[in-house]
Amino acid sequence: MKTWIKLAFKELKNNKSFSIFFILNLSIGLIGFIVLSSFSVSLHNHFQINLKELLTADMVVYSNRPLKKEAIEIVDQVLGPDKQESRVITFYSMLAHDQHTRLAEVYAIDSAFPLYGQFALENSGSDSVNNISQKLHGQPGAWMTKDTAQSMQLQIGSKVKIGKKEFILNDYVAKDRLTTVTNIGIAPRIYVGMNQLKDTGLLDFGSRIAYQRYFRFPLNTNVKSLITELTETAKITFKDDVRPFRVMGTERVNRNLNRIITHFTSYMGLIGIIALFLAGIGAGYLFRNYFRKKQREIAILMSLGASRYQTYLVFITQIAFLGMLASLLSLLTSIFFLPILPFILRGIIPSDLDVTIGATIIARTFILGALGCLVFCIPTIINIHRLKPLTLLQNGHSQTKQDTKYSVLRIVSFFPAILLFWLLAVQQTNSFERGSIFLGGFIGVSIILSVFGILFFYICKLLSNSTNTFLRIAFRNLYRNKASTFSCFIAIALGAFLINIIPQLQNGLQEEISRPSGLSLPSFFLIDIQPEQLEPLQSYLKNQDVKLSNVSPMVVGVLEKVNGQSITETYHEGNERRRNRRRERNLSYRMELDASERIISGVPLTTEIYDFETQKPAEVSIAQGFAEHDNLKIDDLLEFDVQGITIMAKIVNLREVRWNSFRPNFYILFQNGVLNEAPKTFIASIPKMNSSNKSKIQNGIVKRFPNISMINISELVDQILGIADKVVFAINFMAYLSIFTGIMVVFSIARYEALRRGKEMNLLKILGASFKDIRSIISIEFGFLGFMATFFAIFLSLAASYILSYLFFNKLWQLKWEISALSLFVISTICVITALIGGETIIRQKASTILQHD
Amino acid sequence: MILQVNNITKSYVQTDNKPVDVIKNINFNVKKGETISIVGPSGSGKTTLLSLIAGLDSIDSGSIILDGQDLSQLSEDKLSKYRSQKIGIVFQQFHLMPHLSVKENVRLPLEILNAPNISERTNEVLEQVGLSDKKTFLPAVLSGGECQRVAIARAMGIQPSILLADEPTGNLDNKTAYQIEELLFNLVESINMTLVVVTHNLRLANHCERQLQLKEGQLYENLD
Repeated sequence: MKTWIKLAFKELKNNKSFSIFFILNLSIGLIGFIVLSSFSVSLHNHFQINLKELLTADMVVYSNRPLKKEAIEIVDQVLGPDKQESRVITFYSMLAHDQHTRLAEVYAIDSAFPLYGQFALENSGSDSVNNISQKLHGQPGAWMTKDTAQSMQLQIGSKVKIGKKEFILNDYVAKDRLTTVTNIGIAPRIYVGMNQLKDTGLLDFGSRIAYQRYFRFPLNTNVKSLITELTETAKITFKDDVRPFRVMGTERVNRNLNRIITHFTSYMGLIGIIALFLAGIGAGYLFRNYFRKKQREIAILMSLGASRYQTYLVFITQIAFLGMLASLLSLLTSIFFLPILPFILRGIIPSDLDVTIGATIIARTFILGALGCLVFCIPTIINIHRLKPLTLLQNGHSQTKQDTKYSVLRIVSFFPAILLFWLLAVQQTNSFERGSIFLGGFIGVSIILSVFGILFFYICKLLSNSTNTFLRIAFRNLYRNKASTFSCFIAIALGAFLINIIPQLQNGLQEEISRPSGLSLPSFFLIDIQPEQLEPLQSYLKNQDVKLSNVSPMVVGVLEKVNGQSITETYHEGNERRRNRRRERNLSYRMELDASERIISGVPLTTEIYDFETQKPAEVSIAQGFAEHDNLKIDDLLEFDVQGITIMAKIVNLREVRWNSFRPNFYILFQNGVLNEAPKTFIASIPKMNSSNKSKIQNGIVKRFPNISMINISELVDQILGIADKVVFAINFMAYLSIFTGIMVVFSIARYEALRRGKEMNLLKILGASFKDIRSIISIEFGFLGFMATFFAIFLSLAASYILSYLFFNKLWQLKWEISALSLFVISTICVITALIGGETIIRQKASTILQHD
Repeated sequence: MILQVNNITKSYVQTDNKPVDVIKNINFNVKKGETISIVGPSGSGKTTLLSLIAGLDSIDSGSIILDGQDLSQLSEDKLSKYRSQKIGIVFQQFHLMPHLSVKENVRLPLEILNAPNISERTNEVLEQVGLSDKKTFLPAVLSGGECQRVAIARAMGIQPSILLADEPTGNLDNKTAYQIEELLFNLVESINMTLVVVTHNLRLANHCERQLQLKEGQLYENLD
């Protein structure tokens, strides 16, 4: 064993350039994997450590109305006396100060909040209990972050109006645990004392309010079983009613956060896998040529008595060792890349996130480095199987028989790479299904690119008939060196495909979010309009020359049964898509459909006013997504409980709704006359207007109708696009890493090809070709290769992005030719430059020097 | 008998799928310590016969018994092991490991065999071929004659039962070829080793105790 390992290392030492390029290729591919894994694990750990502080408790019981006595008794009975409790009421409302108004999330807290962690206030430190008692409960005080205050030009001591009551900003929240998760949200948060809330007048019917009770238990309490017990008890006690509350523990927070992290990182991870795959192609190619050079030596070893096992051992030792070195190099290099993702994604990830490379990732990198390159080299290594020392006696011309066993072995040798690729995809997406789809898609893309590769060979063959000598040589080189040309072609094309498909998909979505075709985005979205406010609001706006649009009534009801079957309480998390939950729904009715919706199946709702006397089911229209989600179809009979009245309804049509229109839309629309008398609020929108007018109208509405919440649509769209930009940039970072890996592969192959063709190049020199001529041949060869690979990849990326948009993104597709053109130019140029650099050593050598080596 | 070749045949399938008989029912025996040469024109099957005796290729029929062991009964791995213990091969092209020094090349088969006293044996055999002063040299800086000396030393190191040589002087000039020939026979005779040499070189062939001639796949005793 020692002899073989010693021999393996000696060979590597004597083939330094192979070893270096092999390591470089692989390490670049591994960097993306390390950076992303470290980011993902660090984010997960950050949340895990801060879980209780994020929830601020062990458990939350929440409801959208105050808990009734019976419900409170159950909670107290199940949770026992040994607990700490804190209460919080939250809702969205408009804040007003001088001429500044804005939507905020009001957090009305008691003095026990938070049960875990502390408020850090800029001026008063972090004694939460005293601060809340004195500054929020003892007086109508308010806290918010300095940024929020500055956006409304508020200072310490300024008055800010919430509903009908004025609060005084008496401190800034320096570190808000609740906002350290992410800054994404419709509106910033403002904290007030719970006892000060009554006078705001915002706790009346029609406001969307969440009543939350936070609980903290002694250490070692089995919170999980308490949650189950409380949920079960509530289910049994309130069998026929809508559940009076819901329960959430840290596990749920963790699950939700994990889901976000998984979504966030899985797509980047998949691109990272492609980078690794490209690196594998490069490493596999380099090894193939190294192996070819070593065949004679293997035969010598065998003739000296070495067994196949021993020769396998030599190569496996070499590959595993190089893989380990590549892992080490990539781990060291990754340290410089670690801050990149947090930098790109700042604002949407915790600001105090510390990304580090953990021991698990180090171990995984080494395993992946060794195993990853091994699986890509297996198709080459198995050639040992048919290598015979007899070749030494035949001057290298072995007579190989058709060997069925070898043919089978050769096919099987590709499986480990596919298996590893699939396992990585499943691990990255956290889903067997998505991992398999990705692998299928990747194989599909690779097959299509391979077909393009064959087409490319035909083109080269045609062009190789050129009368120009250098063109002829260049195209013949491409055509006749199929293995290297094909490896280069696939590596460049896959990288170019990735670079093009992501912005292409992003473009369509961005366009649709910011400028939905055929629709103009409103300036404001208004919620919680009370029925008695509707007319004064309309007349106020009319006086300002502004129209209140899409006024839609909203009635709360509960879907009880579908086709006579009670809606079950079964609720599956994870990948399960069907969720039948008996919960309150927002119902509405309208005379005609909005421009943002259309019927995709069934007939329009009747225009007749529903007659309760007929006992016939009313007609309802269901949004397509909701129908798919809850497995509903046309002609299904639904039973609703609307404020205690049972209403039967039949689905007559399914609607496609463009939610990105930011217009009032509903999952369930009723026939006219059914809900008209039910207690309701209204939602509406205000059409697009100029920014100076916007501020005036917003302030005017807040002043006159303080309970109405206004969402500034342009701000929201900007925020969404900002987040999308960051996510796309992060994904693109991985894509650039992939193309960089591809370029490294091109460089390695170009360099090797130049070395391999050294004799040919020198012969050309002897025959009179200048350095310039040889450079021209290399430029034509690799420039054409890069150009055609990118061209085909662009073509495929456009087709694939169109299909994906058609299938998953509501046909939102728009050609972004600038990126395609730029990538075509840049990648072709990079190919030429890398190939020229790679071949420069040989170009600069004197012909005689090379002849001496022959 | 150290080597018994019994009625062996070997054919190869050509590109047109028609088999061509390279070795046709060949029989011969070699006694321990005997030196024999196999001569014949190009394409007569000399190298194929040598590769069959070395176990580098398999026979279609018949048997080759080396030191009592029927080679056709051994699996590939066992054959490798057997070869490392019993057979030394010297190639026309030397086939040295280019990145190993002279000493390392000679040590290699001893290490494969896990033989005892490797260093002593290496030094001894290098002394015998006159390369003690070039132990650390790489093959690239050696002359053709020196390379073949290393190859002989490598083959002799394991003290094989039989030494097979394929045109050992074919790549060398006359003077060097003569020196190598002398070295080879001196070494073989000194330890009473069996030698089978395949060659075009009649002088080398005649140096052997017995000459066999291969013509169109068939073997004849004595030269024409």
